[in-house]
Amino acid sequence: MTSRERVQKMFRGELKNSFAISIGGMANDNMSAYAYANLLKYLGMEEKPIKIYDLFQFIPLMDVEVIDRLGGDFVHAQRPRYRFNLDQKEWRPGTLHDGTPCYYPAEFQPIRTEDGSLYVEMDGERYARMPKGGLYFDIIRHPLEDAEEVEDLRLVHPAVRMSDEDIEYTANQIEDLYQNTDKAVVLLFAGQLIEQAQRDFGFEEFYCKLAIEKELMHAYFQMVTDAYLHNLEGILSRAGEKLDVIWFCDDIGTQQTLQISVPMYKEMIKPYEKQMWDYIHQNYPHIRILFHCCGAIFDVIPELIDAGVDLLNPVQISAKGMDPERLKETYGKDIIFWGGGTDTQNLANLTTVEEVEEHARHLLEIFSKGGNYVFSQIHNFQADVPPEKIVAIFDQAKKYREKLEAGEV
Amino acid sequence: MSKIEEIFAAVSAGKKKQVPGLVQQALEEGIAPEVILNEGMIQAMNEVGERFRLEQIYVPEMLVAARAMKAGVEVLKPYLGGESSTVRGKMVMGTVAGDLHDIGKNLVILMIESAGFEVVDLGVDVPIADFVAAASAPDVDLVGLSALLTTTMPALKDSVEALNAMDCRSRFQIMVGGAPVTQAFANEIGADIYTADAASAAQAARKAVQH
Repeated sequence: MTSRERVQKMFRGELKNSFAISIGGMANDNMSAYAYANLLKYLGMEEKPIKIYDLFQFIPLMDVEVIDRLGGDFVHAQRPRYRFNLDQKEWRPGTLHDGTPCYYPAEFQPIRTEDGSLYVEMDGERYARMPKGGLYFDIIRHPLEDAEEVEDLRLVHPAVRMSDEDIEYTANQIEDLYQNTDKAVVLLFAGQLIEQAQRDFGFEEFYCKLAIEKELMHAYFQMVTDAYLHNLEGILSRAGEKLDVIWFCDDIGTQQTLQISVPMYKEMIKPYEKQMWDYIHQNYPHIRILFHCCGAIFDVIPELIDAGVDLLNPVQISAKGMDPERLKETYGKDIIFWGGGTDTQNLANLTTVEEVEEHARHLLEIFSKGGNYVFSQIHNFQADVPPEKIVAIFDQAKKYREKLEAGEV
Repeated sequence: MSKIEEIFAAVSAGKKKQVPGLVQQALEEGIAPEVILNEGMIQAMNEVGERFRLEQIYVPEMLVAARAMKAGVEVLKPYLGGESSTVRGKMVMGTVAGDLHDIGKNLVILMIESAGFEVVDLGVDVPIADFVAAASAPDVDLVGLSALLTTTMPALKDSVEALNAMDCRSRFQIMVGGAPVTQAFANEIGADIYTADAASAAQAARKAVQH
């Protein structure tokens, strides 16, 4: 059984004594480029290029051989202007902070200032900053910060709507992965409403507008959704048949509770997600919707299911109310959990490889019960996670899957 | 409904446009500025914080309430007497070096200001020396440090260590928070106070300055 066959079987509801595994199959079960560099060394695969496609999360395109070595069943395609509107059809050589050779999108030409910070420009203005000694870029400019009227919304970044050339390029990537791997193919689409708004308006302004300027926010969300639907129609009409999963992401949770109330989600966000997800389900019924949403989201999961979510990631079990057993028992029949396999925020406290394995095995037991599960760690491994821990986690998952398939557990 | 009750209700509901006018009317009615501040606005924000902790309201509702209070305080400022009579305490606060995240920090600042504190925002990516310099001001009661990333937790530890080594350490308390931070980690690095959210932080700050 190939990875793709396994995943498709699971989607048809026919995979009861097994589960799928994902590492680097989408943008939230990957790892910092630094952790990846160490992993490549550890696996004796140093010759593999480190292409940093997601400059915000600073994660690499994982090589399919590395994915294979760790047991991953998924690979992903992504739009060429993935972050900061920088085209990545071409790559240029560069280095990580520690001098390790890597590749950046050719258009990524950050400016270093006297205080050691790095800046990314967009439309001639500084848009994101990485502080000296930092590992991440954060957005520092919000074009809609002062928007008051619907007509001010024209400032929404044009990158939201993809060009025909970029749509074609994305579809070709899907075709390429379909033809040249036996993995299930994921499209990193994102389709963000909340996080796009947070970037455009700034966090504080966004929340306030959501509470008191609803008309403006409805107009904004519809505008963004229309652009996303244009992109989806373009990509799927060319390569929809070759695709298994489309990845969406938006954070509705904090670690303690939801960011917004369930009624506010239903009123302000869900209608727009539903437009996108209905379009996909109605026209491409074989494609599954994967939604990435961190935090304490137990109470909003029924609404997400109703809106069309098929797979939920990252299953942040450390957040309030996200008890693995309760999650699996309550929602396991209606949704496939993708994640929850290792608590990466507390990984530093698991000091030995045996402790890491035991932690993963315990979670595997819970989440893989009755099938319907994609094993992965909770969100991307950070820069300082040693490769032996990463390998131990995925070897544990593979071992557990073999036992499950053989009827030994 | 009394003017104070109206202010209380307008702050709670985040009516930023109404609050300044109501405060002005209250002043014209001869209500003492301290009463408007304490009974109209700070108490409203206490209740907002409580409702947030009970998950009856969420970040958007809490933010608009804090902004409404801020607009009211602007009107009140020229009428308030010497600072000591109305300011509950002083806090300096920042996100540690290497970390640019400020959503949580800004929420905490808004809520602590709403509890009647003066807060000096040191911003993000704050070098250890800046925390130390800010903490050495004689009127500082609390030093707040935030870290969002597991990879910046060491910077949090180093910053707290430097603050703990200060001669005037007994004069202020150290409060820490941020996504990966836990009570256990706060204890380990020698911080005095850990809170998990902005409303609890405001509550803890109030408690910290009760003598």
